[in-house]
Amino acid sequence: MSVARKKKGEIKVTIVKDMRDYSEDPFFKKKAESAKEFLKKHPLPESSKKK
Amino acid sequence: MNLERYKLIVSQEQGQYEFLSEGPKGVIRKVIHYLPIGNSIYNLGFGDWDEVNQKINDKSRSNNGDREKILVTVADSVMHFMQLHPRAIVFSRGETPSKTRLYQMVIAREWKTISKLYKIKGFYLGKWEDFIPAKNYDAFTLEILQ
Repeated sequence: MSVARKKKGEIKVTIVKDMRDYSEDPFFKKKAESAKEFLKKHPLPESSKKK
Repeated sequence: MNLERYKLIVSQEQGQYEFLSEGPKGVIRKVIHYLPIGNSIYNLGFGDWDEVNQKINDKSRSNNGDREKILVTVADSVMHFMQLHPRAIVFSRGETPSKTRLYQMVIAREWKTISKLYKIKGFYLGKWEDFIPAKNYDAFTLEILQ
């Protein structure tokens, strides 16, 4: 565990290496799928698309 | 502005953040997850960790008397994530219209600061547009102002 140093405008956080993996949690997966569907139906404007 | 916030812990590789909400209902573990959903686009997911069922509780309204502190902490996580991923677009849509409105209230309240750092778009009546503080949007995106 390490504590990130706070410089001006930076957010102070504690960095950990052993956090539980939430990426397979049904809630987050469902939310991500729902977001994908939303953006498929309503694509972001060209100005927001990364090259 | 010196607002009250919780201490964030982060797993940078996983795009995950945790903090502990403390109030009359006890200590509640809150989890924020930025899951990639497209070309540099990440979905902002946020929920309470349910220790008994070992999963995120999506329907929870913890009512722990610390809503403002929680929102400031979530905003901190967004800023930290954007510092790590400056080309990212963060997409956010609340579980319910009231939660989406709540996010919007935070953006509107901090608009003077936010608008100098980020470009925010809102989805309104079927199209994306530049965020206007007084409108009720269905979804938002946020990216660093180039």
